[in-house]
Amino acid sequence: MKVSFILNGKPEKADERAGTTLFDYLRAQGLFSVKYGSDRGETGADSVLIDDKIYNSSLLLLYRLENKSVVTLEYFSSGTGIHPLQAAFINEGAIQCGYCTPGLILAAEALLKRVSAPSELEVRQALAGVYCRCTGYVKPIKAVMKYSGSEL
Amino acid sequence: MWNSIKKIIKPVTLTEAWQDKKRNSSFYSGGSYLLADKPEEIETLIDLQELLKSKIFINEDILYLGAAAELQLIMDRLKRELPEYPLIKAIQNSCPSINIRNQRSVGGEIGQNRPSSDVLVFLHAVKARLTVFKEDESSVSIRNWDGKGIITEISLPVKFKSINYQRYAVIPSAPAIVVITGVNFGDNFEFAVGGTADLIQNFQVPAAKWNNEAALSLARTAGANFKEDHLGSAEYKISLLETAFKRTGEVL
Amino acid sequence: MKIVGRKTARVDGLALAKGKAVFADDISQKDILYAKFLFSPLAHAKIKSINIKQALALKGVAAILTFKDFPVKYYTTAGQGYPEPSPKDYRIFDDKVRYVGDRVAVAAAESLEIAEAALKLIKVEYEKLPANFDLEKAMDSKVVLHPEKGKTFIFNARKNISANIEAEVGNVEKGLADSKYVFTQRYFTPYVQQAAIEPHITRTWLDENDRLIIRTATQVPFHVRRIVADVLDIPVRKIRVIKPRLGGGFGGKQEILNEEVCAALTLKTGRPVRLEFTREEEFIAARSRHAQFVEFTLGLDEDLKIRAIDLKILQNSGAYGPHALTVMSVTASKSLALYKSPNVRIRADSVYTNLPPAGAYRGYGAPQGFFALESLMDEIAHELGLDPLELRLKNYYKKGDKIAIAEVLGEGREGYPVILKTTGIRQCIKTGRKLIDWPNVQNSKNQGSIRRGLGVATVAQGSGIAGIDMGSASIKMNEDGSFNLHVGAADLGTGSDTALAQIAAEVLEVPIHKIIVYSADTDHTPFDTGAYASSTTYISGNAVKKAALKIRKIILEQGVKILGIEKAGLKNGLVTGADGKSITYAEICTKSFYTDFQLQIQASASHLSYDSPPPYNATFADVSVDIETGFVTVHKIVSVSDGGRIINPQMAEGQAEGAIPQSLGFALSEFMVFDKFGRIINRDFENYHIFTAIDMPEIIVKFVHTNEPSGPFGAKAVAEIPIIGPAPAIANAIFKACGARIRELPITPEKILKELRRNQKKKSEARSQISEVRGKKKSIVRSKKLVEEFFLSIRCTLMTFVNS
Repeated sequence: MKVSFILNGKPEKADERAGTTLFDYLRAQGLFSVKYGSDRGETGADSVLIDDKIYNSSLLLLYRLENKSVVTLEYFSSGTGIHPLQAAFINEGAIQCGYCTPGLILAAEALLKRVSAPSELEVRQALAGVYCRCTGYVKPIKAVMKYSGSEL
Repeated sequence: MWNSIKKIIKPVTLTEAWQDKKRNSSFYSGGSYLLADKPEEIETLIDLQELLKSKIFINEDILYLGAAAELQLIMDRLKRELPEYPLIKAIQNSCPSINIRNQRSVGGEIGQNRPSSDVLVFLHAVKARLTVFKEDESSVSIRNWDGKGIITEISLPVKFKSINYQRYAVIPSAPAIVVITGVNFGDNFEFAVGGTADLIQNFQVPAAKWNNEAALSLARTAGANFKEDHLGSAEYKISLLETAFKRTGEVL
Repeated sequence: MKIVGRKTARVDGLALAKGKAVFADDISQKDILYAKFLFSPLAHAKIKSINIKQALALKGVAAILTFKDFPVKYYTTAGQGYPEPSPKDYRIFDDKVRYVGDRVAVAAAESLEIAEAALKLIKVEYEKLPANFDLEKAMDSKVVLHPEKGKTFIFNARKNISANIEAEVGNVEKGLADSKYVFTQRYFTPYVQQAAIEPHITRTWLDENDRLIIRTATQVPFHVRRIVADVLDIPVRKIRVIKPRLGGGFGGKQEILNEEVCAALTLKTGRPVRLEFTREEEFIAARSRHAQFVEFTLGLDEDLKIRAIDLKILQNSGAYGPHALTVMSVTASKSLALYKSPNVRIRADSVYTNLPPAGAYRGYGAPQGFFALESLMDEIAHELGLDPLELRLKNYYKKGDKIAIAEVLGEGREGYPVILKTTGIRQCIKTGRKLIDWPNVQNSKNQGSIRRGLGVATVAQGSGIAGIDMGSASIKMNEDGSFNLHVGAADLGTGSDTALAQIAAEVLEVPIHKIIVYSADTDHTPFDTGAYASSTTYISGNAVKKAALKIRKIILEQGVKILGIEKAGLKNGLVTGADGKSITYAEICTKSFYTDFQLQIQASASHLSYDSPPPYNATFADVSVDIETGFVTVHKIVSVSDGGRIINPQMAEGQAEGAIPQSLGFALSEFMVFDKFGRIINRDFENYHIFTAIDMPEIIVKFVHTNEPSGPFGAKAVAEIPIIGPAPAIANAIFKACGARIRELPITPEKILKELRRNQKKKSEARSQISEVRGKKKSIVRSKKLVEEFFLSIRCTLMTFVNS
């Protein structure tokens, strides 16, 4: 099935089988920040932003993306610089193995697009769709709070 | 990859959609459940996304939800307009992942008919009404819906004498062992209970007759449909139901 | 110190924050085949026939392998030192399956879809065999899992005993007889899973010289190379194992789970092959924590000093025995290294059942042992009317003490004597007690349906395996004054690359960005036993330190020669003579390359330790219990550890913060449940509940400072120690809150409610389960009835669910 959408700021045209998920497509394009964690969307390792909202790419069929704008973590640091949210994750020690980091950063970004100074509870709820087995969420939460200026 | 999918149909009218529904095909709205399961027997998806509305509005104390409205959209709207309405919490608990709430439609949630859904238990308790399309549109109480047809709209009251929603889960992100919503409609208390049960059950008790014995008797009746599993024996679940009924009744 | 002990950003932080392609599966390969396992649907069966004809005929199928493709060769999937202490009871594919999830066949095809379709076309005829799922019946069961000849290191195959330990120091019978108080109690911990978010994933291919490349998510690259070479009978020189960044391991990746099969497919087809587990397959076919019954008997004298500890373990190996012996020996050696006792004895058996084989999981036996020991200490304190901390404080090993058990019990073999050089356990308690507000909360009134309580557990671990774990490092210098640090140590996401770089930078007196770390590639880094047993900082860290000291010496020598003076000093990246003349690292290296006294400044070193200094931890839990429903809410966990000198405080905190939720799950929500056919019921994260961001209580993590002389810059280990305490601390807090003593994990609401009801009934009766033995009446009494009920409830968790 044919579909046209915006992928990381650039127009993308794809023609894939009807059962192709966005996840399948992105990894095939070498966008490896989108990760496999589970099949039922529990871990959110496969997170992407679509029109600024966070979704699990493995639960979406590609053809549904028509005219939408898809962002993966790669978009945050195209070029040499990094996004200050990424810097906050590094500085706060919020990254351990790093496998869930793309999902956590996208979840934080999606939250901050809606709420500029979130409460700790709001941050927790926003990160609840992304599982992390390394950090206990302590430092990722701190990183988001620091970045948004609402210190813990 | 959902290997078995061969065809996507995008019907223009509900009639067309209804007629397209055959064996090996499935309606496709939000798709979060469908894509999680990827049932192999499904070869055709009937995409309802553009056909169903996602409009949310409140009119004369009735909340109208287009079936395609995503759970997160509903939450956001309610937080602004009815911040105390317990459906907000029920949505949050039913589906703790915002990723999935962004995708999951309220119609799909009802269509799945999962007894562990906090949202569904809530909708049962408040006697939500569904607009369902088969050959044509009809309105039916969620409690009486036979599970057939395309849900197009949900309406539910937002004002009650009192309402109480509780859940008991191992940890907040886990599905509830017991989830209960009680509504005081004036003359009657109405309860809906779900969780690790075969179905969602509804109970009506005259407000004047509410007491601990009533709670115990409801717990026993409801408990018959709860499964014994690793989270607890049937006996334990009855005792948990009893406490849940008592506590809900107390608040009402 | 300038770098060690200070906050230092991770050396791989930037790449990970950017989501760069650094994990095993993050490569694109042309011509790749996708592999998929066919797993056994039965718990125990003989394969009467297997027909792959139709499957092979399917378009796009490149290879299918079954037991028919391999000679009979037994090995262990455990990635451990050599010779492995685990029984060699496993075949790459066998004509017999021993648990639901055992390998039957593997297919490789042009797409995953075709591979899946091929598996459906494989016709297997099984002859069903009776199965046993009950670990207590395993020894006497007619179901014998490993009767086959040629399997080695099984302790007693006929009785299904995969491994056994009998060891004693002093005389426990006499010690108990001499005790004033004797307490006995038995505890149980269930199967739980590591649940790293990245599943097991391996890619294999042949390089331009037809060498086999294995790019895999492993904690043990060198063991992978050795075991794959052995199993497939190819020379080690033909294999290169690359460990990229790992998406978490927690012990789950200390196992050869798919590498040898993926490699066999590449050798058969000549093509790249990718083999990844789905989440469901992780639950069905990967490893987990060993379920254990742990029984402790403690004898105390009049002064409440421990005179004797008797420990019995009955462990569930599952269908095979990876890590069976060593996990039990860690249960014993760690739990017996905390309290001083002149007499200790261990009797332990690990038995085969037709359930999934367990393996290594962070803590490695210690969580099981300490759940029992620290619950019992709490029970004793309660029985004797003492503050739980008071009893513990009387009995800790002190600095200078010889740890009795260490000498008789190493890991899988005899150990080495350990004299305790540092212990911060008392400071851990002091700090934690304050942070949890112990006296105030403990003495506050408790009424209504929600009851609050505090609990504590104090625990010990090790730092590497004494006399076994060996790490190596090699360093070479570049002409800009930077250094390549190559280590065999496998950073599994903990940040060990960063800690090791800090150690090198500290010795060489350069900023950390001048250290370029490359870890774990069997072609390019020196040997390391691997990332397990809390060994990387302590063992590999010492190797790095040694190598860096050698480099320092060479730099100084070269500097002196180049400057043409007799003596100089090295400081801040400069070699400076007495006359004030100095030369930079960059100049020294450049001249050494091109003009003066030419050589490559390089050095390597290895480290092995006969010591394994225990890190300590005190964990405090603040919980409340709804006594009408049995539901528990954890409000706060305070975790204070003694990890020696901390190399990287922020990363060390991260280790503890991440370990705590794993133990919270162990206590409350995570457990693998099997139906009566031996099939796991909760095989996804909707049903296996790990703690998410909204489930976490408040976490406070602290470290106290000791300076371990045998560790690099005074360091001990920090990675495993914080996972041990939370579960027993929670159990003890629950008891304090409401009086329910739960001796069987997980603590479900129903167990609490049952216990509360039993307590109500018993109120007037004498307390029976813990008995006091006085004077010459020397029998140890245990309430039989209670124990029987306990067994029944265990069987419930394992057996009763038919509706899956």
